[in-house]
Amino acid sequence: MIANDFKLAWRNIWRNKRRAVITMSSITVFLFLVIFMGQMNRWTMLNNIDSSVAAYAGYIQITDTAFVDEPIMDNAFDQSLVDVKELQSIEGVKGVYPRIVSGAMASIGVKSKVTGVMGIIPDVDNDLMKLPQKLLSGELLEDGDNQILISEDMSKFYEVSVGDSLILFGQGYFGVNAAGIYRIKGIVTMTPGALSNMVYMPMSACQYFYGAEDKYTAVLVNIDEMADLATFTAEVKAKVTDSSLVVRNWKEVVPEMEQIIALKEQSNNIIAFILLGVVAFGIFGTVVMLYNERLYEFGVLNSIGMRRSKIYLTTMLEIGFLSLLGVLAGVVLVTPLLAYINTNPIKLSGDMAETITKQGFDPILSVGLYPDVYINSALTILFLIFLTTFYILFKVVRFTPLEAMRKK
Amino acid sequence: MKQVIIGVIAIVALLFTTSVNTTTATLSKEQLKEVVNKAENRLRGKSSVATSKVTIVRPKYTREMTLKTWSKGEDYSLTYIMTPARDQGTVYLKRLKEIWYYLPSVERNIKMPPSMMNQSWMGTDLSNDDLVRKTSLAEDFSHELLGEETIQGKACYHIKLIPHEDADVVWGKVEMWVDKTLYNVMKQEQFDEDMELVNTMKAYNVKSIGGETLPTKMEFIPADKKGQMTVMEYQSIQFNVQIPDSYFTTQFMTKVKP
Repeated sequence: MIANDFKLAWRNIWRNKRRAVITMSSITVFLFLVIFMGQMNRWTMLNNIDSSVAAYAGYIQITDTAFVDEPIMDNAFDQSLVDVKELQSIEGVKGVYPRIVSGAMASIGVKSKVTGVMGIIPDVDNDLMKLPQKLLSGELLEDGDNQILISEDMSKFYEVSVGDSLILFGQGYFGVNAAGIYRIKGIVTMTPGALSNMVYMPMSACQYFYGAEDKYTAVLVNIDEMADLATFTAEVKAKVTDSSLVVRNWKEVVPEMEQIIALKEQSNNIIAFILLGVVAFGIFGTVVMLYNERLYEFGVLNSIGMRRSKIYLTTMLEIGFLSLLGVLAGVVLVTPLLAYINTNPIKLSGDMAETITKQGFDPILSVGLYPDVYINSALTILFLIFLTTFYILFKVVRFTPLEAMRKK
Repeated sequence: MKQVIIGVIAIVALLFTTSVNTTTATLSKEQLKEVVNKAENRLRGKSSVATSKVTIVRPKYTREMTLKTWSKGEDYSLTYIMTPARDQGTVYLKRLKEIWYYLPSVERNIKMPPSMMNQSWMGTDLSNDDLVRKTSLAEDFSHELLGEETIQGKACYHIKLIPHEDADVVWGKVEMWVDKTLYNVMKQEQFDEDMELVNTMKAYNVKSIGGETLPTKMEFIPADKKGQMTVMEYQSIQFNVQIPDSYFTTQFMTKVKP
C-alpha cells in the first residue's frame, strides 16, 4: 500500500513539471542563501577570533600568576618553567609561541610615542602572524638579529623607512634601563589595533633589551579554531606543573574580545533570522499554490472514495520529494561557489573596509565549508517546510468536495 | 630617604667638637635639635669618590650593580655604572634639583622629566626624587626623644620627628635612631600622613673607611612590598678629593672613565 503512495506522489510531481520546478527551485534558492550566509558568518566569526586572538593573546595562554592582574615585565617567568617541546607534542596543538610583550617609548628626532614591544621567534611567528604576506618592504627578522620590524602605521607616523633606526627607551625587568637604537629591517602591514602599534624584535634581542634574559612574559598555545577550547585548556594545564604559572584560554584573557565577537554573531543572527523569515513565507507561498492548484483534484478524489488521510499523505510525500530534491540541488549548487570564495577571499575596500579595520579585524570577506553549517541549514529549511504543510493539513481536513470541484 | 643619603653617604664631614651628655635620656629641645643636625650634617659638604655595590632584592630575583660616584657637596654628584655589562657606561648626573642621565646604548643625554621623578632610580627602592629632595631634618621638623636603644651594638637616641606645618615634607612622621657618640643614623623609619610605615633604612657594618667611621652597609626596605629591599655597600670611599667642577656637566657624562 505504502509503495503505491510513494509511486503516486512521485508521479504527481511530474504531472505538472513547471510547478515541480518552481517549488523545487524556490527551496534550492532559499537553501543556497541560508547556507551561504551561514558559512560566511561562521567563517567571519572564526577568522575574527583567529586574527585578533591567535597572534596576540593565543587560544591558550601560560603566564605567571601575578601577570594576570599586573601584566608588566616584572611578572615575567623563567623560560625553563615551560617545556615548549612537550606542549607541541600534544595532539591537536598547532603551535606554541613564547612571547615577551611590553612597552617602550619609541622615538626618532622630535617624534616619540609609546609603543608595544614584542619579542617573537621568527621561525614560528612568521607563519602565525603571516608576516611574509604582510611584509611591505625590507626583510623579515631572523634569530639573532638585533633589528626590528615595525608596522606600516608606525612607519608613517615616524616617517621612516627600512634602514632607518628607532630609539627604544623604557623600563625593563625590575627597573633596569631598557634602551637601545634599532635598525628597521622590515615594515609590515598590520590590522589596526594592538598589533599595529608594536615593534617586533627577535626573542633574544628583546630579552636583552629588557634585561630579562631567559624570561618570557607569556607562552601562547594555539589550537585549531574549531577544536574544543576547554579540553585543550585542561590538557595544557596538565603539562604546566609549576605553581607560579597559570593557564588561561582567550575567553579569560580577553573577555572583551569575546563580547565583541558575540555582538557580531548576534547581529549576524538577526540578519539570518530575517532571511529565514523571508524563506519561510516563500515556501509557504509555494505550498499554498500547490494546494489551490490541486483543490479540484482533491475534490474529485475525495468524492470517488479516497480518504482524506490518504490525500494528505500523498501530498506530504510529494512535498517531501520536492524538498529533498531542492535541498540536494541547493547543496550541489552552493558548494562550488563556496569553494571558490574560500580559496579566493574577497578583499574589501572603501568605507566598509575602514569600518571593519576600525573594529580591529581584517577587511577580508570569505566563507567556510563547514559540514555542520550545511546540515543545520538543510534541517532548518526542512523544518520550515514541515511547519508550512500544516496549512495543507488544515485545508485537507476541512474542504468539502462540492465546493472544491466548483469551477471558478 | 635623601636625608639618609646625605647624612651617611654625602661628602664633607664636619668633625664634631660638641659632646653630648650620654648619661641621661632627657635632652633639652636645643640639644635634641643639635643631635639631629649633627647626624644630618655628618658628611655634608665633603667631596668624595666612592665605589659601592647596590643589590636590589625582589621576591623572585636579585640584581647587583657596582657604581662609582664622584660627589661634591650635596648638590653635585656623578654616578657611573660599572657593572652589569649591559648597563656599563650609564651615567647619572645630579645638579642641584635636576637629574640627567646618559645612556651609552642610545648615545644620548636625557634630562629626567618631572613625570619620572617619582619613579624608581635604576630599579632600586629609591625614587629619583629621593636623590634630590631637599628637606632639613633639623630645621623642618620638631623633635621628641622617645628613648634610647641599642642598634647594631651602638647606643642610639630614638628620636621622633614631626614636620612643621609649613614644611615641604611628604612624610607624616619620621623616626630615627642616632648613634650617641658618632652621630651615624643607624636606623630610620618614615611614615605617611596616616602614620603608616612607608619605608625603613637600616645601617650595618660600622667601620673606619676613608678616614671616617661610618656604617658601610645600608638596607632600604619599603614597608608595603614584601620581600623587597635595596642593599647598598661601600667598597671604598675617599673623602676630601679634589674634583674639578667640569665633572658635573652634561658634556663630561659621555667621557667618564671609572
